[in-house]
Amino acid sequence: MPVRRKSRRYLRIWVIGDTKFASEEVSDAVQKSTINLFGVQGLSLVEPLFIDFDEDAQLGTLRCNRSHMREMRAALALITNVGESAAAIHVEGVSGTIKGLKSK
Amino acid sequence: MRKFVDLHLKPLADAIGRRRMLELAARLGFSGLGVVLEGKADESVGDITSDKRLDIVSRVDLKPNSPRELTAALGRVRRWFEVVAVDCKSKSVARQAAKDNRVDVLNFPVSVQARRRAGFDRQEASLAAGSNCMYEINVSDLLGKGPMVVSGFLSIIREEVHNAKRYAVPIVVSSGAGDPLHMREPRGLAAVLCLLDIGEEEGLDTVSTNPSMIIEANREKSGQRFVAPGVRVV
Repeated sequence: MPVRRKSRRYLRIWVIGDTKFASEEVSDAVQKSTINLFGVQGLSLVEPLFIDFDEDAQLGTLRCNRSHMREMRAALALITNVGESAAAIHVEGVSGTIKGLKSK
Repeated sequence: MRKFVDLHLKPLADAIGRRRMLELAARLGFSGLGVVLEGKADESVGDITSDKRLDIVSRVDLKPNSPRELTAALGRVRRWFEVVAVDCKSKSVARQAAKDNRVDVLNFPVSVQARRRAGFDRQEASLAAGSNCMYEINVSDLLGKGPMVVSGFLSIIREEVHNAKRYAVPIVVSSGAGDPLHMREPRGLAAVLCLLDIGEEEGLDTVSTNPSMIIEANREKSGQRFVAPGVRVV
């Protein structure tokens, strides 16, 4: 019996700041910002999930629900701190698959 | 394909910081930038315009204390800058700015209390619609604030956006960044409008079509063929 798969989007993010950040710090900042803006229910709809993060290049992959891409982008745009330091998170590319994102 | 424009960037004073901001804007996907310049545009635009990837637009932010001061300042700066924005500190200044067709963009105070006194109300929207002014939202106003301040600010902006839409006043979303860490990619700026119940396409227009409209209209006006609105030498 066919089962409808959840549609997702993969975002390539680029973190800039005064220092280099750890994966956990970035993941925490994304979750906090989503909860601040949309609450716990919003977090459950947006479903942000950290896939990977290259701490040297400060580039990572983030997954979210396709229907709530704008909310995810808004939450990322309003991040001003990662950990204790000032930072900004930019979305560099979006794709429906991780493979597609890497080929961009 | 859309061309994105950030109409409000306050570049850092030092050349290295300024270059860093322009490079970041190009990497983020902007093709046009409204750069706030001090003094006459031609004198201070200098090294900024050497970046060929970006269409740099000179902008001035007027901060008059009275309507009379605004009128005088407009007479002085209009011909030197492609975009003229007014920070409306009081209701009387806001009314005068919305009436004057030399003003391109209306800006309002960042503080919630000041915004309640002098905001973009219905009368203001009605005047702005008649003089082709645009209503600007700076995303940097929302950055680094606590949830209570942001929620109060969003509630005021939501009301102002409603007034703008009611009178068909175009909305422009800009970063208002004075620091590279306050700059955001164009789709990120547009996404912030989902907090104000603005649709996706309409949101993208606020960072592409609407700011481009101001720039094109003003460049046409400053061209040699322009005679009066709707009249030009063929």
